[in-house]
Amino acid sequence: MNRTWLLRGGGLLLLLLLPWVLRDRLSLTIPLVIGLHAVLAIGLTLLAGQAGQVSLGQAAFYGIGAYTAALLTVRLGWDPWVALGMAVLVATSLAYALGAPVMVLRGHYLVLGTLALNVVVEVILRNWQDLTGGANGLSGVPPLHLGPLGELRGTLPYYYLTWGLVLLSLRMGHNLLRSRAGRALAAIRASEVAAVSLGIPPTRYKLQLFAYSAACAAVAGGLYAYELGFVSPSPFGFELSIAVLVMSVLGGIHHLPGAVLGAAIVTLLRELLRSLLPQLFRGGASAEYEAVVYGLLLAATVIAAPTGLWPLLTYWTRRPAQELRIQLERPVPPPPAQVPTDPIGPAHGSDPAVEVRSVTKRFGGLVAVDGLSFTVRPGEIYAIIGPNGAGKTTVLNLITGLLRPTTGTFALFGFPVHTLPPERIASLGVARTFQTPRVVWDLTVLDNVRLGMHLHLRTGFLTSLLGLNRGEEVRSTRQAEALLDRLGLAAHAHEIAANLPFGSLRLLELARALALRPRLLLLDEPASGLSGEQRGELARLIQEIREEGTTVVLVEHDVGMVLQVADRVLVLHQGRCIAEGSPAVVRAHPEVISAYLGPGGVQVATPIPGDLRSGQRAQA
Amino acid sequence: MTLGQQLAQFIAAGIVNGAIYALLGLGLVVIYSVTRAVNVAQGELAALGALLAATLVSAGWPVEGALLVAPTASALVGLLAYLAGIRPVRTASPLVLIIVTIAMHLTLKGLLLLLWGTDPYALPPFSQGPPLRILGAVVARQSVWILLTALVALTVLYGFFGYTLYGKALRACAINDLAARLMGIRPQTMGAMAWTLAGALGGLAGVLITPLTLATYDMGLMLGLKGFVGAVAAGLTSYPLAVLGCLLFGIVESLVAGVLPSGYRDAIAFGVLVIALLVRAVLALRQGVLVGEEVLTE
Amino acid sequence: MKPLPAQGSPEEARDLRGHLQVYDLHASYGPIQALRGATLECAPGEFVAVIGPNGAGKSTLLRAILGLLPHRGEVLLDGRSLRALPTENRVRCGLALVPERRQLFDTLSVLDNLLLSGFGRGLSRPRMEERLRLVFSLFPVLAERQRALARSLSGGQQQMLAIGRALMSEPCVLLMDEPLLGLAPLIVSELLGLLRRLCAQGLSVVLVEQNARAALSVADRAYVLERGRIVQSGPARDLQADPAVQRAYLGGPPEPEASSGRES
Repeated sequence: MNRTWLLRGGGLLLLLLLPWVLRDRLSLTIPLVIGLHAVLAIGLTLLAGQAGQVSLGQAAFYGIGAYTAALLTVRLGWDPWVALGMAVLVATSLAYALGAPVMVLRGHYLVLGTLALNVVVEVILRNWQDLTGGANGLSGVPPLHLGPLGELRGTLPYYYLTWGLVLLSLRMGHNLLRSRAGRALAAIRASEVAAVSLGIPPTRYKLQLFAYSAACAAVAGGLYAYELGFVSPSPFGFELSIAVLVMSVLGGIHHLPGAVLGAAIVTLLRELLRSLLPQLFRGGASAEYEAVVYGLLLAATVIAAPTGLWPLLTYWTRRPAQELRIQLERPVPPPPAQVPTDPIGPAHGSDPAVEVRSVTKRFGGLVAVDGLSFTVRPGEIYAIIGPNGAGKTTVLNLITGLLRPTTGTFALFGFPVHTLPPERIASLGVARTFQTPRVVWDLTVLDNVRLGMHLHLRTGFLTSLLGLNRGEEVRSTRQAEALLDRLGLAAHAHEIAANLPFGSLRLLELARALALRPRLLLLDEPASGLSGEQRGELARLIQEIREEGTTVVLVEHDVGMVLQVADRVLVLHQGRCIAEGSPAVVRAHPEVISAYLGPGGVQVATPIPGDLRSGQRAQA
Repeated sequence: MTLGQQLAQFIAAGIVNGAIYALLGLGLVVIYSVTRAVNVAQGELAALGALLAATLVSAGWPVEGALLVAPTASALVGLLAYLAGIRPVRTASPLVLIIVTIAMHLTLKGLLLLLWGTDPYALPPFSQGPPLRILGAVVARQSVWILLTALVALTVLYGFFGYTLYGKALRACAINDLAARLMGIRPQTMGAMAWTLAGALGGLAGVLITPLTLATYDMGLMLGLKGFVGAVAAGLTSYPLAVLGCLLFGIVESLVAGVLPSGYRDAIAFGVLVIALLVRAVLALRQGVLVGEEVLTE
Repeated sequence: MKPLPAQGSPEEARDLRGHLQVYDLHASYGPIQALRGATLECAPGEFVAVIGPNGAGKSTLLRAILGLLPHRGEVLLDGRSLRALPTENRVRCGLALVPERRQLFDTLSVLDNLLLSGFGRGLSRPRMEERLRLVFSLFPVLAERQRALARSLSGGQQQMLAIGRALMSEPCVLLMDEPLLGLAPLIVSELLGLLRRLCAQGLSVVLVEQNARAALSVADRAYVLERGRIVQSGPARDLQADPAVQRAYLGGPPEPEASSGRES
């Protein structure tokens, strides 16, 4: 801890004093450029580490920022600060326009999409002579002005401004990761299915992150233009986008400060190469040789140090690296007794909680659910049982919107929902658990529960970045602790979820679902993998939840538990309902006994066609 | 020339370019569907074929010889790229695979620069003579060469994927990787085959396009990108759709380039790419099942 | 891709091959410990059933034996350790898995699905043809529909294709993950009879099944897997008669307490 602060303090002091240290010996331009590149790399590191997407468009957004600022001030005489704001707006809008289809498609189109963007920006900058001045560039860009300091001329003020921006973006990135948005991104990385069923829209968060990385680049571009007073197309080429990627990967995409380290190394290397390469290779194109060095560096990093250099550096400080993970929360005062219990979603009258009307779901040739209809009354515990492969989980996936029915409709609390996306269905007050618990392994138990509160919290992406969420964070922590206390997990609150034993993972998932304060709770085989004692506890808990007014739909294999807790039971077999009614009625149903427990006493009498013996010889 | 003639001219030129993009697009699809890597270095394999063919022909080789040797060399480089770059990180996330192919792109381009320098190389048309007239369009003999060669290559590919067990094994790997392994099919062997095949296709595309343009060490990026634009229409998974997408893109590019100043030609790819992505995204949203794959693997 | 070396004459080979031994197998899905030291054995030509409740780790057991997920412990086939081998090479040694959910090549034809299995195993053309005749004789409906796409088959036909495809690779041990799932009772009994016959011909079968009644009715021996451990084993007949097993898995004397499962 002390060493970390020593390192930070030392770094800050060095940054402050660097201009005096260098004085006339070396130009301040290089540290300035390192800072600008660091801002570009921080944006990319956030995007790659948190959303798993590579952008090759940082140079394009940098260029868009620089040119927007330059054009608005030179041609229209705008105030430089307003122009800078406009530059950010242009870059983020463009990122939204390009990113929206890419993120919806979920593939890995972003890398080539941004590559194409880079190409098109270069083409426009060079060819639209009337607007951009073409290859000759645009001169006479006015400097920024700052209150009493007046116009900021020379490198020194921009050096401080840029590094201030670096520290600010580090801080904002850090804020983001510790916020509601950061947790949402962690959930999306862990399992998009779990994320959407908590009401988290994956596309929107990834898109916001992409737009943010573009905004970072645009601000850096604006500063560049004001410092130099001149812009030309050459600094914003594809080669810089590659260099920024190298910076991020070299520093480590899961380590935000690594971006600064990467920017410093790559920028210095670039200067070195630019003085060395022309001597080695005559005939120009030294920029291309530079690219080769980047290529090799990139390959070497991915293969030799896939986590990047930052973790190796911070090893010295003898504490877990400053990873882009939500860190353990400091203990907070004991929770207040008052925990809101009002369920989420619009109020409803006496409409059935679930109404399924002749729903069919096919997968290729397989009919998983076949013309199924049933109704769940509000406030009851409704169990769905049936042999493996009967279509039980498919029914849950249909209700939660993870799958669309092939035919048929269904309504929740009277709202037709069969066309809504899963995150919208969650916001109607529907929570679920999964057969295999889908918790976010690298978050704490507490943060996992806070994920369940996603729909109740209001902090948006921007507020998260600015760190304006303290009050809500404290409140949600307390509520989450109260829930954990109720499920007997309070002792593990600050542990990483991956350390929990299996049974506790189920409880954690249940706690997360309850944190949504659902009107309808769907449980997918909650008892499997639990011990007898844990099953008993679970049964009690389910009844308790119902008494609080939540409707429970329970898919379960443990017939005993179902018969014990359920008000009504639906028996599925091959996607069809073969019986429905009270546990007693269902238990006595002959068809149920034969379907659920398997055809009794299978006799092996059916003749087998073909000559087995000849085949057997071939087998040996 | 009447407007109709002009249109025919543009469309013919577009189909010729589209055929070349199709070869590149198919390479991207086979690599993506078998090894899950978006290959940013696909165009470099074409540039290698182009430069090699130009050098061989200017050294006195017959065109047919160059047409065989250059794709073979590209195929070998593709194989090497797989063995050196992708195989070691085979099980890593798609993010890592993309970073590796970007590294490949840079390294290959650097090698081409070292070997060939910055000068452009010319390749004479495969046969001399006045252009042909087809349906009102004037078609250069080289264009006929391109179309015929591409057609032969596509037919061979069709036979390979449709009628040989190796080809079907490649498709099987793309359809269900787990099942393929359960059948004893080796993912590494299939990955190596996919990259070799993509290399050969890239090399062929490079040789074919050189007489129309010129061969330079840095021609790869744009070529690869244009193949990608066509392949996106197919979601990077379907071979016939990829061919169709590339042909369509070739035509659109040719038509739009006819009305734009020449400097903007490379920008068309971006516009079409965004439109293709939008269309696919709208279709995906309408189908609705966006997280379906993950549910089914439960 | 060469076939395994032949070991003596076919008759001798049959006696030698298909002995699967699994010792102290541990495996986990992410941080979830799904298998905690399972030990079991299947002798050549033996029919072994593994039963247990949902989430007991039955599928994980088969996946670990095939090397589909990282695991600790030993897997021996005819005395040879498979531990260091990747899945595809284990298949080439003679293991075949009929996976849960069938995992067919949906958009390839029935015939291609079958041939690819022989191809992966590295069979020569004539041996592939011979094998194909065997599979078609076992499942005539596959022969009728050999040109159809796999995804257009009905559920039962798809299951037959999955089994036929596994048999195409000339396995000496056939591992099956819930093959009876979603099949009509008549087909279930047909399928079990078929497996029984294959066993009689020297094929070792490990059947993981939720449908304990059906599985125990045909198996020679059975294991009960609960929460990642083998908690009971013995001849299938004995387990069928065991009151605890009856209560838990055979829907035996219905008592409310049956729900809580037995403690291991």
